[in-house]
Amino acid sequence: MLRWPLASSAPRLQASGPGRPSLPRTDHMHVSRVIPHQVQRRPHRNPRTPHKAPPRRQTAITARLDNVFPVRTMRMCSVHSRARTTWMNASSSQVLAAFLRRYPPAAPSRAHDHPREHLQLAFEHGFRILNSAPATDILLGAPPTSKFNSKCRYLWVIDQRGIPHIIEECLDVLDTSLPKHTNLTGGGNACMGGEMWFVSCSSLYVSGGSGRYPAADSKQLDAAIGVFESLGYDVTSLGWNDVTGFAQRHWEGELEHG
Amino acid sequence: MASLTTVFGSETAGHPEKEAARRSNRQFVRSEGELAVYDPARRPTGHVYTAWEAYNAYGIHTLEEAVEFGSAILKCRTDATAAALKTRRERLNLSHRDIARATSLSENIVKSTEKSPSRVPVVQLQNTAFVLGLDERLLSYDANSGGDNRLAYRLRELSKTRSQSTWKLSPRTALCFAEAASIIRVQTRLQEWLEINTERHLFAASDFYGSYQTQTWKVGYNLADEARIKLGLGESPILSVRELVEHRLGIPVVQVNLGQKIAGATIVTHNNEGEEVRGILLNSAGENENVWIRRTTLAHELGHLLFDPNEHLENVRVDPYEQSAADPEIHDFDHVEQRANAFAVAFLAPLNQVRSVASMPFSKASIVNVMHTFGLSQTAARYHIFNAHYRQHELPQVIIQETPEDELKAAENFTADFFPLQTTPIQRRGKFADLVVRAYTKKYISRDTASLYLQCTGEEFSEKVGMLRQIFDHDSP
Repeated sequence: MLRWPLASSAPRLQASGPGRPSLPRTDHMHVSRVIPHQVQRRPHRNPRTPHKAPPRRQTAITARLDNVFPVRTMRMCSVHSRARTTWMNASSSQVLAAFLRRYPPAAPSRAHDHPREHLQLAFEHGFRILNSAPATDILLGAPPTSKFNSKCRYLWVIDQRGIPHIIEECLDVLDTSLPKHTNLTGGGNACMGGEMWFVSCSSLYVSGGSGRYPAADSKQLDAAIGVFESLGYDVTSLGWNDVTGFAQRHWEGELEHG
Repeated sequence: MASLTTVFGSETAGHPEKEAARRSNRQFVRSEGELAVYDPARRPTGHVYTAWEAYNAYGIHTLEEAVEFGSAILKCRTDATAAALKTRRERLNLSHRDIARATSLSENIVKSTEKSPSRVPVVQLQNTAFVLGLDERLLSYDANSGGDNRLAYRLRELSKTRSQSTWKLSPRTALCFAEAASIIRVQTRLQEWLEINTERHLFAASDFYGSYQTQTWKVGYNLADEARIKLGLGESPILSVRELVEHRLGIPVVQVNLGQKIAGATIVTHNNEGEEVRGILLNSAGENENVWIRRTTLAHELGHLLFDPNEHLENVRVDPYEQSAADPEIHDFDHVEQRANAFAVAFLAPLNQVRSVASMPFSKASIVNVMHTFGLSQTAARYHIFNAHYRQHELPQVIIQETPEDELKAAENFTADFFPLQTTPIQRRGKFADLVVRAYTKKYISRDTASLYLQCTGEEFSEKVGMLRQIFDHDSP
């Protein structure tokens, strides 16, 4: 398959938020979180009419992720209420629950070509669940405007745990192959999958490009964007391609974030 | 990397990549910038390709990406489509109106293809690319969209006024040449896919145009003898030059109205693998309406096509009527034309046979006999008889008003008199349409591609495909 530029040369964001000093990276991840009442749902933008989002007030609370929601637990068992409330605010969990009801998780649409495609990746491999904005420990990138220039692409799925994601880089545990969407679910069920690019710690470009967990239609993609937005991100959807009947995977025109 | 069965379907299990693509029942659909796996439940509106077509155009990695992510990005640059269409139009010195006329699109749509192509239906973009001589499959995928720049520059050069030339290409004619390049490229490709064996490989280009010992016309005569031997024609007359060129040699012949001055042309272009592809453009108007003259023109172009290296053809070799009616044994500064003229006349009428059919003393009947026996025009027959007898004896100056036999006219007729698709332009009927229908029947190309090539709607094509099979004597699938 097409090998995208690896993310190793891209700047790694240690901590986030405009005007905030960078936090040193430690073994215990620091996460920043938006206070629930300040999260406002905004409709995702039409990709053809990019506009500048108004500056948003953010209040950060730093917590130790592995204290409140150990990744291994997250990986091995279904999400339990305690964990969910610690990393997801009330409104975002409601949005996720509504999404799960509307689009119940389903098995991958096709069988795997190799057993490693169903290997569940773990924290040490780069597996994460998307926190409320602003995100931490991420690589900044940009969505592709052509087949050559995707930068620091993350794969994501939505399932009962939230939005598991991982940067698309070759992994030793996968015999130096690139991770697949099924590596985020261990070959299990998910509502849908896609790709995303962090253009800042709180701004994302999101596509619904996944062959294993494809969006059924544009409404499902829109609803998925809502789940991202409920976490406080400024989300730009790459949109839906009516001509192919699948989610659009490249950005048409100039990128707002350069 | 996805496995071949994931990309091409379980029916292809156990086959190598190329064979799997050929046997696959999977289809793909493209928009201006992306290629996705075709899923009718999603009601896509783009151009549907068979797996074989998509594999040949974009390669296995793109198909894998489409399977991995639902769709693959085709665009090589943000503005690739718009830039390719605009650049090509400007290189050919054409206006939006010229393109609109050739594609039956409105001028506004043609302008939109160069400004915001993603808002224009993909079939209209492909149509525009095809008439401009671009490879419509590679639109947005390749910066040049598979266009042959040398051909475009040459056409532009030929559309300028030149000294020592009585003709120049009008924008409309230049566009005919560009479209002919697309037809030639597609026809050659379909022929390869259908594994149609031809005898084209028996011939190689020769850059020997004579020396102080061997006159150019003698070289032409020798090449004609060589061609007759290789094709096993002996010294008998050729019943149908069209059949020989198109079927036995597999050379695309595009017949189109080019006005009153141009007899024909040889076009050299390149496919997306960079291989040279050649074909003949034949004027259906002017003196070529006489089947004898058309045969001579076709044989002349065949001489260019089989034997001239591209450095002499310069991608396009245009032959005006005045040139192809010249006496091959009169010294000409243009050795390329002189050799082709000599080849044409000796190929149609071997010298020995001409000597026996038109023996001494010459009379009006000598000329008429040669015309009817070998299907030669009066001018060509007169020069040939004169030359066959070593230019020693003048022919009588008589008025001859002979017309070719109906049998010969039918044998040389390029397009079916009745073609069920009214919107298909004349240059895309005939052998081209025959191959398109064959490739569709064999599932090498999709209905969308077939209808794009025959410039009709998918519904029209589905409705008439049975009739087309009957016309071209195909077996039903």
